[in-house]
Amino acid sequence: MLKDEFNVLRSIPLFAGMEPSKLKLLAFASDRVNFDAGETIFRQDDVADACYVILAGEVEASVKTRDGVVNLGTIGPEQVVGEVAILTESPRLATVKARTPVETLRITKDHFHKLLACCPGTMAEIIRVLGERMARVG
Amino acid sequence: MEPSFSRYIWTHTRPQQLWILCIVAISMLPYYLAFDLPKQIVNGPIMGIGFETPGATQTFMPTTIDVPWYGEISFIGGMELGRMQTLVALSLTFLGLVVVNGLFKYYINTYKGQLGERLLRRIRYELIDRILRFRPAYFRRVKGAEMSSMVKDEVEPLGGFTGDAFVLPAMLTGQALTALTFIFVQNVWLGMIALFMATVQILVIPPLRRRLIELGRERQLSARLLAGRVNEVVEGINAIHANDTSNYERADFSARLGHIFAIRYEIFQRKFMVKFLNNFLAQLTPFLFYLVGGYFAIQGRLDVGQLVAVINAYKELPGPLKELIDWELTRQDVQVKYEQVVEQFTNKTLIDPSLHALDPAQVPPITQPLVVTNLTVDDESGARTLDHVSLKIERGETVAVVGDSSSGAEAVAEVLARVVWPTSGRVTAGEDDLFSLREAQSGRRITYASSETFFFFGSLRDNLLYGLKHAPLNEVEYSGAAARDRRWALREAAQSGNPTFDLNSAWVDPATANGMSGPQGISGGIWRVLEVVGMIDQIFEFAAYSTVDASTDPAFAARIVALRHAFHDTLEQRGLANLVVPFAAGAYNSEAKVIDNLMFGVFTNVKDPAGMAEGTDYFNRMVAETGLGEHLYEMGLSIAETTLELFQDLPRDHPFFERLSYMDSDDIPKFQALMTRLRGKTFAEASPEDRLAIIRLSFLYIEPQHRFGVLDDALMHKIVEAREIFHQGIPAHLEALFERYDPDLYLASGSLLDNIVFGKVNLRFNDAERQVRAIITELVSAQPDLIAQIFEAGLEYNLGGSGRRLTLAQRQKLNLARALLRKSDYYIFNRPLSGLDPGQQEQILMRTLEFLKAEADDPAVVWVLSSRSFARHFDRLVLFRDHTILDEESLETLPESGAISNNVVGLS
Repeated sequence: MLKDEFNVLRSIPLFAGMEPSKLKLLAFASDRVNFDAGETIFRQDDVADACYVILAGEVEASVKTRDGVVNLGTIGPEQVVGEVAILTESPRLATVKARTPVETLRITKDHFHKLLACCPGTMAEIIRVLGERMARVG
Repeated sequence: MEPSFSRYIWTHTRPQQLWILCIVAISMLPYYLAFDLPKQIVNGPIMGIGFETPGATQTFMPTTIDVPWYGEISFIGGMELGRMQTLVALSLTFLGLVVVNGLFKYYINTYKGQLGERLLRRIRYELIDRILRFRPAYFRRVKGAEMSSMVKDEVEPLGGFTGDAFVLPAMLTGQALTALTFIFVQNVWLGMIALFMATVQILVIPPLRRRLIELGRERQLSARLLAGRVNEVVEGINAIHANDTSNYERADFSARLGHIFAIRYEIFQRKFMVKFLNNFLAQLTPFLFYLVGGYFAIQGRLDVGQLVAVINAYKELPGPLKELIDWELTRQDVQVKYEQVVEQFTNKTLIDPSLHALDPAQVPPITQPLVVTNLTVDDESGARTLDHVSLKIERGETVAVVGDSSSGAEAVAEVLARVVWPTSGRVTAGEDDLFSLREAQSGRRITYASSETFFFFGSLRDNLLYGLKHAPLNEVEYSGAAARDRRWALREAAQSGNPTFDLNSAWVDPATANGMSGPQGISGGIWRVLEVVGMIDQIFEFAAYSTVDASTDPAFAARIVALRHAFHDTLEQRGLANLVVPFAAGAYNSEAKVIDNLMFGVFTNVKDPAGMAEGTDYFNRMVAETGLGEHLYEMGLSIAETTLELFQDLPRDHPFFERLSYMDSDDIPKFQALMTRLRGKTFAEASPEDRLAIIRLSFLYIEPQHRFGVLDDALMHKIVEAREIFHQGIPAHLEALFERYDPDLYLASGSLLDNIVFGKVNLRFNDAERQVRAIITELVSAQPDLIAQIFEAGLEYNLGGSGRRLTLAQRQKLNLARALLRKSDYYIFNRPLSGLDPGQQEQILMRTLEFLKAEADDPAVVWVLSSRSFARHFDRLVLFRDHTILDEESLETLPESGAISNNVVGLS
C-alpha cells in the first residue's frame, strides 16, 4: 500500500530530507515490480533508467573486474539499489540479482530528477550517499 | 472546354434541349385550355347561358377539328348534354386538365433536373480528368483544397441552370410577346409605351448588374482562397503550434472573413437597389397608361373598355419580363462561375489523353537501355538542378547514384521517373522518347520510390496493391438487381461522358507483380515484399491491436478462442499463471478497473446512442439499487481526498499527472470545490450529479496500481455479487447491445490481443508483457494457416489520411514495398529510406537487390544513396556534384569494398 511504501521511503537516508508530501507523490508515481529469485534486476554497464527500493526480499550485487567477478554482498529491505547510476547519469556500476523473491518499488530517473528539482535540501544527503557508494565500489 | 457556358450546354445537350422545348410547347395547350375552362363553367351551366329553356342541351366537345394542311380529326365528342350533365362533364374535364398539367410539369421538371445533373457530372468529370492530366510541376503552385472547392462547390449552380438555359427564355419571351401583341392590337400608342418601357428595363437593368457580376467573381475567388487557407491550417497545425502563430492565423482569417463580408454586403446592397429599380420601372408603365390612356379616353380617341383591357393585359407583361431579366442575370452569374473554373483548368500544358489510354493487355517491356542525353533541368525558380548530364542505364545492371542534396543526384532520378520534365535534352529508350511513351508503358515498366511517400485513405493492403491497379482485367457478371443497377450505371455514365470502368472488376494482375507466383498468390507477394522491408512484425503488431469482425468469419473467431485456451494452458504448465489475471466468472480481477469488474462486459453498439444511454441508465439504477453506490461513494471520497493531498500543490503541467488515470490536472479545482461542498454531508444528502462524479473515481480505480488501500475483499465480493444481479436483470433489448466476458466466446469489441489474453497482464511482474507476447508468438507460429489469417487481419489496418497513422520510417518502408510488388524493367529509388538508421537501410537495400534479382526479369536498379558506403553493393557508381556527373566507375573491378569507399571519399 502507498502508506507502507511511504514509510519505507521515509526511513531511507537518501529520501529522508524530502518533504513528506513530495515523498508520498514519489511513491504514487512509482511502480511496484516483483522479481523471482535469481532474476536479474539490472546488469553492469547497461543504461540506467530507474532505481529500486527493496520492500521485501534480498538482492545481491556483483562487479566484473579484471580479476573476475567480485561479490559486493547482499542488500535487504528498506535499502536502495541503482541510485548512483541515475544520479550520475552513468551506466550501471554493478549487476544486481534477486537472491530471494523480491518486491521492489521502481523509481524512474525522470521522476526522481523532477522531485529533486523541488527539494534542494536533499542535495547534501545525495552527495554524502554518493561519496559513500563510490568509496565502496572503488 | 468551350469558353461560353451556353455553348457548352448546347454542345452537350442539344437533342435533349430541343426535345424539352417541344414538350413545353405541347404542354402549353392544356395549360391555356385550363385557363379558359373556368369561364365556360361559370358562364355555361352555372350562370345558365345557353340553358335558358328547361330541357335545353348543349353540344359537349366538337366532333371534328380542322387542322390546316392535314384535314379533319374526328373525336368521340359531340354529345348533347343537359345543364347538370354539362356542369359535371366540364368539371371533370377541368379535373382532367389539372392532372394532365401536373403530369406535364412533373415530367418537365424531372427532365430538366436530370439534364442539369448529367451536365454537372460531365463538368466535374472533365475537371477531374484534367487534374489527372496536368503536368506534375503544376501542382507545386496550387492548393489542393482550392481545386476541390472548384470541383465540388463552384460548379454546383451550373447544373441547376442547365435545364432552364434555353427552355425558360423561349417560354418567357413567348409569354411577353403575347401580352405585348395584345396591347398593340388594342392601341398602338399604348403598345409603343409598353414596348418602350420593356426595352428600357431590358437595357438598363443588366448593365447595372455588371458590378454585381464583378463582385460575384471576387466573392468566388475569395471563398476559394479561404478554402485553401483552411486546408493549409489543418495540414500545418503542428507548425502553427510549434511557432506559436495561432494568433497570426486568427488575424489572417479575420481579415479574410472581413473581406468576404464586405463583398457580400455590397452584393446585397446592389442587388436590392436593382430590384427596386426594376419594380419601379414596372410600376411606371401603368402610371403612363393611366395618364396617357386616360388622356386619350377623355379626348374620345380610346374607349374605356379598351383601356381597362390594356391595363389588364399589361399585368401579364411584367411577370415574364421580370423573370426573363432574372434569367439573364442568372445566366451571367453562372457564366462567370464557369469562366472562373474553366480558366483554372485550361491553357495549362496537359498530358496528351492518348498517353493515358486504358490498356488492359500485357504491356511490352522496355528492352532498350535508358539513355540520358545532354539533360538540363531548371526548377520552378529557374535555378539549374541538372546541367548537361548524359548517362546510359542498361537492363540488368545496378547503379548507385551518389551525391549530396543539391548535386543533381535526386534530380536525375526524378527525371527518369517522369516526376520532372526536362528543360532541354532527352531521355530515350531506344527510338522512343521517355516523355511521349504511353503511361501504360512508362508507369508500369518503370517503378519509382522516393523519400516522399503518399498513401491513400484506406487499408494497408489496398495501399500496397495500389501500384498494380492499372486497368480492369475482367467484366464482372452481375445478375438480378445488381445487373439492373450496372446497366443503369453504364447508361448514365455514357450520357455524361464518364468512363465505364468497373471498380468491382479485378484490377490486380498477379502476373504483372513480383512474388505472387506462389500458391499464396497476392497475399504471398505481399508477405515477400514486407519481409524485404522488415515490416512483418509490424503487421502482426497492427493485427494484435485491431478488432476483427467475427460475424464475417466465425471459424477464425473460434480459432482465436481456442488459441486463448491454449495460451492459458501454456501459462499454467510453465508455472507462469500469475503473469495474467484472467477474467473469470465469480471472481474479482484485481488488475482490472472496478467498472470492468462490475459490468464484466461492454455495451457494444456505439452506433445506437439511444441504446447506449438506456444501458448506462440501467447500469446506474443497478448500482443504486444494490446499495453498492454508497460503498463506491465512500471509496471515491477517500480517493479524491488522497489525490488532492498528493496533487493539489503541483503545477498543472507537472509530468506526474500522467500517472493519474482517473483525473485530469484541470479537474483538480473542480474536485477541490466538490470536496468542500460535500464535507459533512451523507451519501443521501449529496446531489445525484455530485454522487456520480465521486463514484466515477471509484469506477476507474485499480488497487495494485494506485495502492490507496480503499478496496478490501468485502467490497470486491460485493462488486462481484452486483455483477451477477446486473447480468441477470438486464432487459432483453439491452442484452443485444451488451457483450459479456465469456471465456468461451469471441469478444467482438476487443482487439485480437484482448481476445487471446482474455484478462489483464500483471504488470507487477517484471517483464510480464514481453513474456506474454513471446508465448503468444510461439503458439501462433505452430499454426501456419492461423499466421496467414492474422497477417490478413493486420493488412486491414487503416493507414489514416495520407498514412498519418504510420511513423515516417514505416511509411518509407511501405512505400518501398509497394514499389517492389511491381514487375518493372527499371527501378528508380530516390533515397527511399532516408528516415531509417543506416544499419537498417543497408539491410533493406541488400534484401531489395536480392529480391529484385530473384523475382523481376533482369531489371536495372538505379538507387540514389544516402550513404556512400552502400555503393559497394552495386555494379556501377555515378558520382554527382554541382548538378552534373563528376565521375563514373565500375565497381566490379575493385576487389575490396573498403577500397571503394575510400576511393569515393577521396573523390569528394
